[in-house]
Amino acid sequence: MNLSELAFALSPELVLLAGACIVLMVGVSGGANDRLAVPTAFLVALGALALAVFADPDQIGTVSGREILPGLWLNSVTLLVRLTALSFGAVAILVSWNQPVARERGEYMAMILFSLLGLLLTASANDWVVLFFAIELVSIPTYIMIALSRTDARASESAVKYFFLGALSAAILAYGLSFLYGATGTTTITLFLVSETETSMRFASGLPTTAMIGIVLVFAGLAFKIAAVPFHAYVADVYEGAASPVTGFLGFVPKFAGFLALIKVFMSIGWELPTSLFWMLWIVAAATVTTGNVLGLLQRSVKRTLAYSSIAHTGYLLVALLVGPLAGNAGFMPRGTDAILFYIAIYGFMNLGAFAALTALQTDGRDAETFEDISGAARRAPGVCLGLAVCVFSLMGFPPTAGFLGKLFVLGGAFSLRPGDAMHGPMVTLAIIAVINSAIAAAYYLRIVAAVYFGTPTTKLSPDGGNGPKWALAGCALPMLLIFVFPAEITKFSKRSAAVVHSITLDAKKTLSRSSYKPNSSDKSVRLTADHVDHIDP
Amino acid sequence: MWIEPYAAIGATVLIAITVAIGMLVIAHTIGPKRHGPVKDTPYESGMPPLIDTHRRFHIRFYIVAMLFMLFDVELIFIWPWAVSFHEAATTQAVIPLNHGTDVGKGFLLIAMGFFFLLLLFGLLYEWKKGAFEWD
Repeated sequence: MNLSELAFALSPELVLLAGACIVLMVGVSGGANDRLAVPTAFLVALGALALAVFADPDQIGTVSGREILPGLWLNSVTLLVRLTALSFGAVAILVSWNQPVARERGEYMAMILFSLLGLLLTASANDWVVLFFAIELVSIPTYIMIALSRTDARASESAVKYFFLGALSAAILAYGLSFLYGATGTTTITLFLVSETETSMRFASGLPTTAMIGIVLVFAGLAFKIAAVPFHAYVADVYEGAASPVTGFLGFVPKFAGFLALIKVFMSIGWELPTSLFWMLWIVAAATVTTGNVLGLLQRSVKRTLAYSSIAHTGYLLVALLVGPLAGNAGFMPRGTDAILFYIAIYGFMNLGAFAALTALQTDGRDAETFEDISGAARRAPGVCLGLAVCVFSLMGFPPTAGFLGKLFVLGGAFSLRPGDAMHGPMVTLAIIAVINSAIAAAYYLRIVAAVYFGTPTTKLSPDGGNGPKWALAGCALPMLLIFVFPAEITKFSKRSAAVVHSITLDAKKTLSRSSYKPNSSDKSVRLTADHVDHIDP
Repeated sequence: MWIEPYAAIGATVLIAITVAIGMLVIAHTIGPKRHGPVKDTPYESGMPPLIDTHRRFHIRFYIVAMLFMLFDVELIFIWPWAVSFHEAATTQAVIPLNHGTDVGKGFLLIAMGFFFLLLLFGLLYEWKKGAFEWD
């Protein structure tokens, strides 16, 4: 492969990188140029999106994809992530059109672009080290974005909180990845052999303890990014402290990156979760979905409510993660991983839409935050409130919106395990817990809609958050309705994208079921054999 | 047994702990104890402290520390790269990719050029932002 091919295959990433550098320089070039940073960033995101659509070489859209650099493997998941992340990024820039204070717009916009670049790289990472750096590239700009988004002390407080906890989780993640390296002897995730793919995490006789420790630590590190339960405590504080556009961004980008990494980890072990690991995930999923929804009921601030809704959605996605790429394919229902990719993409937009509405509704010159702030807003800003209602109904999973389909796919997958399956009972129980919780969730989602439509109007409220958030809100709310009416293309696309996960998982499973592993002579990658690992492990 | 390779590490850790605890215990039990205003100062044989140690110092030192960190990390990365590049250039060694394509010294050079370009942008940004001005 020559350089021009390489540059072509990586063009969305390269455009994002170059664009982020340019936006950064535009921001500090002084004077009125500062204002230019925002449209420039918007154009960069759109340009990268166009490249992702049009400059799709034959290989990238296909299942097997193409490993273009050591540790960077473009495949069908990459394509899906590029399209969703870049369109999300463009909308997120629209939401924060007027947000950051002057003189810091360049930095703020550059951080959005860098974070998106990290998400794109997370999708293509085929090496634990690349994966780690990609996830850090997602996270570090978000710390800065929180601090830059407002000038008050609360933003600094939440940035510091997020930074310290994020640094801790990065350390745990790196520690876990070092165990995976110790167990396998290679940092490559999927190895390409002549006839089939193989993951580095295959062992002759079950998972050795070293790999188990690694997986649990990696999960703990990523649980912070996705806001799963034992690591969820920061979410409400951080979301409340950051400005609304940043909060909408935080709800999607780190979560998506975390789930992509988790998919990579579990597909590399053939999705054969040992019983202890299965129950750990089960408990985390049940606790996450319950905590998020029950605590969401107790909140007074709309932002905090949406923060707990974000935790609850992590719980639903964890249910789909437990279903996995092999189970859950019953008729109309997609497999577990298809459901994750579909639901998380939709979640990003509906969540961002809700925060765009809060940005558009200003109270005393700041974003609306509490239920009192948005009380009766529908009389002042009917359009914004209609958009908010659509997004909130979608978050709730109410039928005429795409959120309903997302919940249907996730929970349908959990219900569709065959009765003979050992995991049938636990999965059905988990699905029932999730269903009960989405009923509880309806209470607090409806509180938002009720406050907007039936509350007494306050005089402080004014719908003058600028046009950017309003366009963004339209861009988030309309697709929610359209996808519900025409779901076929989107579900087909997510299914096709997740096919690579399915095929690697199957290959990994095949290898796992072999009695002993013989290294293929055509494989050039350096690694230890499974036999070597077995004698380290007791 | 599987634990054997780690026996030496375990022994080292044990000895370290024993020595550390032993020194504390011995000093505590047989050491002479005399108290006085001079004896109780943190540095008995030094100057009497002039001011409180919890002084505020200027934030610009923090910028200096950050710049130092950046260039330090850069150096740590370039050093092993230089060693690999020298090896690749003299022995024509290649890094195998999984699909059968190999990359050689040209790739290493471009990769490092890319890294430098990014750092250059960082440097330009800091310059424009005024991080190098002492006042």
